[in-house]
Amino acid sequence: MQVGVRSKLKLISLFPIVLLLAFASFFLYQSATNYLKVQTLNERINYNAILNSVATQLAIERGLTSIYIASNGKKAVEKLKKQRAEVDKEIAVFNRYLSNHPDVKPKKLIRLLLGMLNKKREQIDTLQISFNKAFFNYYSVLIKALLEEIDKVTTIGLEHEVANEAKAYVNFAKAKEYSGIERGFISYVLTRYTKMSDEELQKWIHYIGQADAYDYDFINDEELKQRVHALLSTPDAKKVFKALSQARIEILHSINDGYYTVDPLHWFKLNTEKIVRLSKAQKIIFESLEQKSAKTMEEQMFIAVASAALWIITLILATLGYIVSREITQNIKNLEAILQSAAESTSKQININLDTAEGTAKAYSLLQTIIEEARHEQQRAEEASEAKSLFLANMSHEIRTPLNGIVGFTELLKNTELKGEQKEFVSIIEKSSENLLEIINNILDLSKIESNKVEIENIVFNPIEEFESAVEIYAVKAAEKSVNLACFIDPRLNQPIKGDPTKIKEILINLLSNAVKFTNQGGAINVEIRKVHAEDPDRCAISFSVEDTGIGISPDKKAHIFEAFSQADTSVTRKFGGTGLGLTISARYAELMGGHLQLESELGKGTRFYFTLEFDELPQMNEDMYKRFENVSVAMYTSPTIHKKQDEYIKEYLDYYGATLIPFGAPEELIKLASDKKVQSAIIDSDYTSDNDLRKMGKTPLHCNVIIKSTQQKRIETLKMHCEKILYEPINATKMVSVLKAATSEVSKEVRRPLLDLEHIGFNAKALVAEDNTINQKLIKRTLEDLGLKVELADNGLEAFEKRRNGDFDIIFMDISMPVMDGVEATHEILDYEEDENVPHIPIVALTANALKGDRERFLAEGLDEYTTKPLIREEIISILKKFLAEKINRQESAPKPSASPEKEADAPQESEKEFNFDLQPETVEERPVQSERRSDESPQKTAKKILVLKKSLLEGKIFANMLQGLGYEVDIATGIKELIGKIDEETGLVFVDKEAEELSMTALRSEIKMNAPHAAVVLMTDPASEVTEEEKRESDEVIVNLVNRDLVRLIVEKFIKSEG
Amino acid sequence: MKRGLPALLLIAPVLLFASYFSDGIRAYKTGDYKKAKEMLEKAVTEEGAEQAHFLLGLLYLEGKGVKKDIYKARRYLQKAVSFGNVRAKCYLAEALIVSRDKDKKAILSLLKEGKKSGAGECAAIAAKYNIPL
Repeated sequence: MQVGVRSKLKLISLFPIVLLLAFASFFLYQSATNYLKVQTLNERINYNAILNSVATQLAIERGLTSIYIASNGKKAVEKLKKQRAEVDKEIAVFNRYLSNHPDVKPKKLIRLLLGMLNKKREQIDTLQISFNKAFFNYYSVLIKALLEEIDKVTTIGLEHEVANEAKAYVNFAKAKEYSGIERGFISYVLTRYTKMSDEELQKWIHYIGQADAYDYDFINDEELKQRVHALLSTPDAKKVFKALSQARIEILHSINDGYYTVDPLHWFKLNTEKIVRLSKAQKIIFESLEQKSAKTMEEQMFIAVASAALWIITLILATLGYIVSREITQNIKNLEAILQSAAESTSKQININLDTAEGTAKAYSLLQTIIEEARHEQQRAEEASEAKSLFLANMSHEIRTPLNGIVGFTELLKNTELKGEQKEFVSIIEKSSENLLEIINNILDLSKIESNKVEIENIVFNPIEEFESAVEIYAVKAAEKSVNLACFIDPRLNQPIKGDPTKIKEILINLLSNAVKFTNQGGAINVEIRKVHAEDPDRCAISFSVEDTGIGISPDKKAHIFEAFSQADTSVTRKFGGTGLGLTISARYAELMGGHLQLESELGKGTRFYFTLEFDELPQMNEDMYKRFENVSVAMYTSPTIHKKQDEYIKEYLDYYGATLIPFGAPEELIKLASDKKVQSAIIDSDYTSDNDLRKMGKTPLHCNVIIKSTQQKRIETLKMHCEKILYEPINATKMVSVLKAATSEVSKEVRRPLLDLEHIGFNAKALVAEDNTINQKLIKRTLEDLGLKVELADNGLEAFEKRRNGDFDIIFMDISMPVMDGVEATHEILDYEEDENVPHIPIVALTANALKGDRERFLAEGLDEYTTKPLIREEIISILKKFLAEKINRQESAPKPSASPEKEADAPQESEKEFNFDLQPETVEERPVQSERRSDESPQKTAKKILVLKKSLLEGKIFANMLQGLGYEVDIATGIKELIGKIDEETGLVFVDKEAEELSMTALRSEIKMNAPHAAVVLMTDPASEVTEEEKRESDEVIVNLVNRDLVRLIVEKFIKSEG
Repeated sequence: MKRGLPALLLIAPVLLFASYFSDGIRAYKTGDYKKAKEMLEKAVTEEGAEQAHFLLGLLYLEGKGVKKDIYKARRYLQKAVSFGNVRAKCYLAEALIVSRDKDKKAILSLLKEGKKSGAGECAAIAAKYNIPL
């Protein structure tokens, strides 16, 4: 049978302890026995002392009795009486001892003889007993019995030394007794003074032998021996012993005639002296014995206690050992259980038994397997993570392409001649798309944050400008939700600071985004950015706060709100959407910049997020407007019922700039103020007033500023109000300054013109727009409305279909990807309906974000009538509308397209520029030379030849073509190489081809060009990452990088087309 | 009878026991009664030796070394009897007989007691004076 590991362990751990326990137990037993022995000896010594006293006193009584009898009761009467009292005393002590120690059992004979004592004494007193009977048959037998009892001490089994001393003690006791017998016996003979019989002589000789047998040489204690020896060797003692032996000889010489030469008294005296000395010697030994016994007892006691302690310690050790061993066993069991469960989690079927070496080996191999699996898992996870990164990178690329389209078109759009508010829209679009791009980048950066790869920039920026632009992004959204957005950015922040504006803006955008998302219609959002006191005077501390009146956050959710992917409620995600990453990123960014994003919130009442950051402040560079407008008085319309936070902010701004604020509550008041020339300017919030009042106030000869939400523009338009300025919520420092500047200018009200100058082509038609994205809805709606169309919106395909059935439209714009029912399906439904009901077909135009090759063909095949890509380009819309709604063109308002007649528009802004300088982004510096150059370029443009463009995607082609058109050239876009070749003719002066275009062969293209347009040049556009072959270089006149800017393109075009011209 | 005597005691030189009593006894045994009388008297006075009375009684009874004096003898012997000397009883009886004491009963009991206690002299004295025991 195999011994298990556990049993071995037990054996190893417990065996020594058990051994030790056994040893300790034995030792304890031994010492306890010894102790008991010594205790018995001690007891025995006491007992012996008593016995000895009894025997000694009895011996004296015996001696006196013998004299008494020999003298026929005449001698020693008194002495005997006294001695008997002594004996009785000792016997009483003896009896008391026996009653106290019931375990001590003397010989029966002793008790018997002692019981006879009084009877014998009576016989002696009456001389009824002979000397022999009294002396030998009674007293001597009794004393002998006592001595034998004393002798028992030698049978206890003591250690050698003590035993020897006890033996010597007994020897002395015996010698003393026999000396007593000899003394009494010979006294009797000498007193009788007759011849000694043979029998008597025999007895005497026997007594002499016993009386002198007090051997003590075997005592081990030399000192004790010496003391005994000294006692027995004093001159006196020697004399006594010598005299005694002489007396014996004398008596022996006289035994024949009976005339003894030794007097009985003399004899008695000599023997008594001998007995006294023997007694003394016995006493010395007794004392030594007592001492030794006490000492031994002490020792044994100590040993017994020590071994008891040792035993207890071993017992404790044994218990501990047992417990430890049990714990270890339990641990092994637990380990087994864990390993077993681990084994079960793997596919392998292993029975774990750590008791055997084989089982342990199995367990190790199992662990090895698990570790390897874990490593594999990790590897897989890493691979997955890599895949994710790759996916994200690809995604970002995919998202960025259309975004670039938005940015690019917006840029182009901005460069067209736009009217005042259009410019604002464009710049909002531009900023929104830029922000979107940044946000995408930041989502990608979340992984960077997680891996601490985010770096905080430290660049110089203008805080007011940056923060205002961040808030402005959400102005439209807030307006759409009818949320009052108020913003106060401390005008004292007029010095440039050093920090990371992008990150701060992202935090603000995130907070605003949340605020807008979670605030219901009619709610309010207040953004406050204030300069606060900083510890370091060279630094500048800014507190940021975004407060809303939204749904709020419950206290238990507050703790987790900044954790990734943890919106306050999962239902929240469903209702409001979003990744929930915004707060995580914001909190991390705030931390990275040394701040701490915090929140105060009450469920149902709203939330306030706030944080404070410190920045290095640069010496003043900006123009400080502090108290610059002290001569200006501004009237502000206040409502007794409605109150907006914005009013307070306006007051604060005006205070800072030094302007006087005069509140008024009715149009009449303002008219009076205006006629009294008490105010130069008026600020009226359109939310506070009725249309009538607005109109009234607009007629005052004042710089009249109306605050509206961007969605209320239509309302103002319908009023046809000649107003100085429209201010969009939220009012900020820049807007405030422009108001004040305008108030000081001398522009007369007469030169103002109506806000909306409908100089564009108009269509008298009704359009249905199916689009799920609200921003896109608004944009399309706005674009179409600008063109005079009446627009109806549908949120999805089904709704569009329903509206088509119930309404009469001239054209339908159909988004392709929509929830519930997509554009293609809806188109099918509409076509089916039209066919079934036999109603006239309404043209359907596809709207798509996809700008892929072949899309157009696909959608046309699906039954759609036309197709356009989603960043809606006005020109395209117009051309589409022209195509389908030619008869609906509004002839009265017919005007050339703005883009087609830039010259006419170009002169206008000079005068109206001041009026429109509330534009968020002042016109960039670089734009002016472009505009002026454009005019100077007009002459070569007339002779210019056609430019052909072939790009990888239609979208890119459009951007590029637009750029060229902007430069004033005639451009044609080809969607494929075949189309390009087909379009090459005599007019063609320059061909741009993308290296990435499908089926492109430079040699073939070159030969085509040589045939059809021998003077045309070819410019190859390449990706910066790809390499250009020799053939491609040879066959092209110029190779440029795909990322072109307008200046570069113009230079290139001028190079080739001018040379031709 | 000397069988059991230890050899030590037999060969040991007889050291004179330096007392008037022992000297007196030795003088008595060698027939020097005058000295015996002298020593024994001294033993009585100096040493208080009890048995000296017995021997002095004998000397006065038999007139050895001194003028025979029955009364003195009787007095010494009487004393010796009181000390426990058995032999003294026999000689006290003889002294009573010799002094014609009429107390025959007392004489008889003395002789009887002495004989009983192992004194051979009593029988001899009884025979000498024809007293049946």
